[in-house]
This record gives sequence, structure tokens and C-alpha cells, in this order.
Amino acid sequence: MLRYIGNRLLLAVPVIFGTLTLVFLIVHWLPGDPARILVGDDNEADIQYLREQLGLHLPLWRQYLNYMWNSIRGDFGHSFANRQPVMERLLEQLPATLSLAVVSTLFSIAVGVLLGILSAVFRNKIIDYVIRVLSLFAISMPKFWLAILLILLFSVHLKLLPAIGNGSFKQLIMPAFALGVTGAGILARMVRNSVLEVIHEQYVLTLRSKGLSERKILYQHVLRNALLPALTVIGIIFAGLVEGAVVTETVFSRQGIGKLIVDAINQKDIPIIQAAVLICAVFNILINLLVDLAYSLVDPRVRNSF
Amino acid sequence: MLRAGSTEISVPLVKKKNGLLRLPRISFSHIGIFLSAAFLLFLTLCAIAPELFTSYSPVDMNAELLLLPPSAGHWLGTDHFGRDMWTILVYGARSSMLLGILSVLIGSVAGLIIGMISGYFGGWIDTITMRIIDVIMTIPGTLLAIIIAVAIGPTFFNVVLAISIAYIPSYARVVRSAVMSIVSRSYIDAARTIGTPVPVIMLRHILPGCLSPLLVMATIGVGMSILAGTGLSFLGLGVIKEIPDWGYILSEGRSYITVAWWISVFPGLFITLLVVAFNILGDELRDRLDPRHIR
Repeated sequence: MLRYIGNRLLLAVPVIFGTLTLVFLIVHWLPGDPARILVGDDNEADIQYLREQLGLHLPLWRQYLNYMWNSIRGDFGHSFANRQPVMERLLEQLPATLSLAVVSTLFSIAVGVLLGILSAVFRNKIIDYVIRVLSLFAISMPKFWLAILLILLFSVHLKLLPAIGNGSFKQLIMPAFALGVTGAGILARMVRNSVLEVIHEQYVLTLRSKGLSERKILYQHVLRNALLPALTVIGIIFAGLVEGAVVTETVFSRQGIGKLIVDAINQKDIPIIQAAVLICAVFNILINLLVDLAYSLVDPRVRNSF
Repeated sequence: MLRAGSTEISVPLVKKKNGLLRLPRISFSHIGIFLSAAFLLFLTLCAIAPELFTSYSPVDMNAELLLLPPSAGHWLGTDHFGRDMWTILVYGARSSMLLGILSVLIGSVAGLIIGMISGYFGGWIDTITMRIIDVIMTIPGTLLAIIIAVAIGPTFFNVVLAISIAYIPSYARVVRSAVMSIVSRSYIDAARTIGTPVPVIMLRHILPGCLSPLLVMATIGVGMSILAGTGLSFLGLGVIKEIPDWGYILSEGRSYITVAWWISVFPGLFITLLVVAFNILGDELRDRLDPRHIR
């Protein structure tokens, strides 16, 4: 098992290298000269000085090599905007986004799986139709629109919840809901299909004819098998939250990685963009690894193949 | 009714059972498909000939008509420049629909080609292609689209391109697995044995098998592309034209949310309904094409 993890981590290394390269290429593709933007006016001497300070005057391949070498050593440079070490800045913003991501994923899982099971068990009854329509709308709504609707209802009209900020739990409720609804919809639909497939298998018929109660069949047999594919989806949802965080943090004026990235892109703050995208990518890889590990823990067929 | 001496059997649409009328069953899915198709038709007409649906002009700024609520004269109210909201949404349909359809078209064709080549030839071509795709996929899609859109400039086609690039890896993967399962079948070997040239094998034997999963992904993908595109407009990273795009007007409305909720609410409603329509059609397509899918 440990060898498997080690293998996967080893395989991740070239992928991370590739991602670093891709990020470097894309970012240096961005139009605009960061030095010019930072200096503000047209003082050519100042701009040239800043360019040399930031290392932008070097040929691209040298910038690339410097970048790769520094990245390996964990030095991601300093933000163009405020000279703060990039890692420090990112780690400042990470907790806010992470707490948002975790809470909204938990919400997605709780609501999505529950509704999916209900929908499958009461197939073609009213509740099934209601859940199916709701999940359809859930996956079709733009997150930023839902966020604005929530603010309109709960902050402007009902004055129950705060619209901006990111200190307290109350300020987390609406953003987490806005972010989690889409995931809940995806899970609800997926779990419904999965449970329906399992219910129609031969062995369930056998269990019924043996006289096992419906509830026991559901909990002990059907759910265990049906929920397995949901793990992959959960992984995808969690990893996809970073992009969702970009809009949500903008709408709710929260601190976080998403807002950091958008600001950095607008300011052409290259080191921040590179490091932030890298973090998202590493995050993705880790989540995939975790999902695979979870599979191996839960599914004995996978576990025994080691 | 079967009549003696006649071979004609007529089955009436409306059956009488125990004296009660029973109507033909229209299921919810039929209603869904009908509504979706009708809505899409409506939006397509809006895209082609917006003048049919509104007499106002979307660029008509009228200082006297600022921030009016929905009324008989202005069905969805007016915005902060005095423009009629319904008109803006009708004229904006063109860019939203084109965005979704074009991105998916480009993305799926590119994904099809890449997936077919990778899946058919295998070997090092496949390995390298898959590694590159893995690398692209580690960067979250929306983020990739944002960065590309900013990198190559905020024109309409560039935004389309940015979104297509973000989706190509998923399409390529789906096509590749379809191709790999087809290639393992014996009729491909048979075709190869009799000397069929490779492009012909690909077009005639492999392509049809890839189409149905790709088609399903593409239909649902239009919805996702529209969400991505309007998201970009919302962040101010999309196209800025005279006629505001749905996402853009939505973000403008944020500043007026306390006094004029209609500026943000209605564009979002249109976006949602458009995506719902494509999702319903995509689901229906998948149900029809996959015989094992349980309703």
C-alpha cells in the first residue's frame, strides 16, 4: 500500500513539472508590462530599473530556468505589487478559501447524497420529480447569480445574514451555500442513477426473496455499492471549488485565493499568478490521490489488488 | 375495432375504460423537452432577429428612465442608464448562445481529433498526449479560461477559444476511451487485414462509435460553456461591447441591488433557463442513446 502511494507521488512529479512549465508559458503570454503598470507614469528610466530589479529583462529561457530552479527550492519570489514573499501572501489567504471549500463540500455531500437516495427510493413519485427538477436548476444556476439572490433575500430584505466579510461563521453560511448548491445537484443526480442501477441488480432480488426487510437491503447492501462512484464525484467537486471560490469571493467580498488570483491577473502580478495556479494544480493532484486511496480503503476488490 | 370481413384494425387514441376517458400519457419528460425546445427556439429567433421582439434599442440611454421597476412599458424594468432590460436581454441572446455553441463545437472537434489519434495509434503518441492532457487538467478549467482570455485579449472569439481550450481535455479523454474500446473489436482487425487505409477505418468504423458519448457531453457542455462565458463577463474579463452581455449587465446590477433588483435578477434567470434547456435536451439525448440507462 505504501509502495502504491510512493509510486503515485513519484508519478506526480513530472506532472507538476509540466504544470509549472505550462503556467510559466501562459503567464508570460499575458499582455502588458508589469514594470510599466507598477511605475505608473512614463518615466522610461524608472521602468527599465524596475524591470531589471524584477528580472524581466532577461531572455525568456533564462527567466524560465531561474523560475524552475527557484521553485524546486521553494522560493516563489516576491509579489510585484507589494514585494511580499509570494508564499507568505498565499498562505495568508488560504485558510479563508479552505474553510469555505470544506464547509460547502460537506453541505454538498450531506444534501446531495440524501436527496439522491430519496429520489431513487421513491422513484417516479412526487418527491422524485421535485428533487429532479431542483437538482436540474441547481446545476444550471450561475454561482454568482445565486450568490446575489441570496444576498437580496437574506441581507437586503430579511436582514438576517451579513452580505460581506469573512470573520464569523454567520458570514460563511451564504457563500458556502452558494458554492455548495451546484455540487449538491450533481451528487443528487449521480447518486440517484447509481442507486437505481444497484437496486435492479440480481442480488437485490435474491435478498428480497430471502425475506430481508427493505430497510436492511437499503442500508447494508444497496447503499454501500451505490455510493462508491460518488467518491470520485466528491473529489471532482472539491477540486472544482477553487474556481467557484473566484466568483463567490468576489460577490461576498471575502478574502481568499480566488480574489487574490483575479486581482493578480489584473495587476499582471506574475509571481502570484504562477504560485497560485501551481497551488491549485498540486491541490488537484492531492485530491485525486486521496480519492484513489479512499477507493482502495472502501472497495475490497481494489484493496486486494495491491 | 375489428369488424368481421374487414382487415382494418383501428385503434382509437382515446381509450374508454369502464366508461372513463383516459388521455394519452404525456410524461414530465415530454413537457420538459417541449418547453426546452420552445425556449431555445425563442432565443435563437432573438439572436437572429431581435427587432421582432422589442421596439426599443439596447443602446438607447435615456436619463429620464433610470432604474424603473418592471411595468407595462418596460416588462423587466430599466437599468442604470435608462436602457430597457427586456431589450438588453433579447439582444444579448446572440452572444450568449453563440458563445456556448461555438466553444463546444471547437472543443469537441479538436477533442475528437486528438482522442481518435491518441486512441487508435496508442504507443508513445498516446502516452505523450495523455501526459499533456493530464497537465492541462490539473489547472482548474475556469482558471485556465480566465488566464487564457486575459492573455490573448478580450475579443469575442478569444473568449470562445479560451473556453474551448479548457474543455478539450475532457472531450479528448471521452473520445479516447470510446476509440480504445472500439479498436479492440474484431471488425477493426478485419478491416486492417483487407488493407483498408487508416483514414477510411477511422472515418467509417471508429467515428460513428465515438459520436454518441461525444454528442451527450457536447449538449451538456453548451450549458457549462455558457456558465463559464457569463462568469468571465461577470468578472469583467469577457467582451465589453456596446450591447452588454448577460453576465456583464448582471455584474453592473450588483451596485444597484438595493434599489433595482431587476438589473441583476433577470439576466441570471435567462442564463439559468438557457442552461436548463440544454441540460434537459442533453439528458434526453443520453437516455435515448444509452439503452441500459434506467429512467
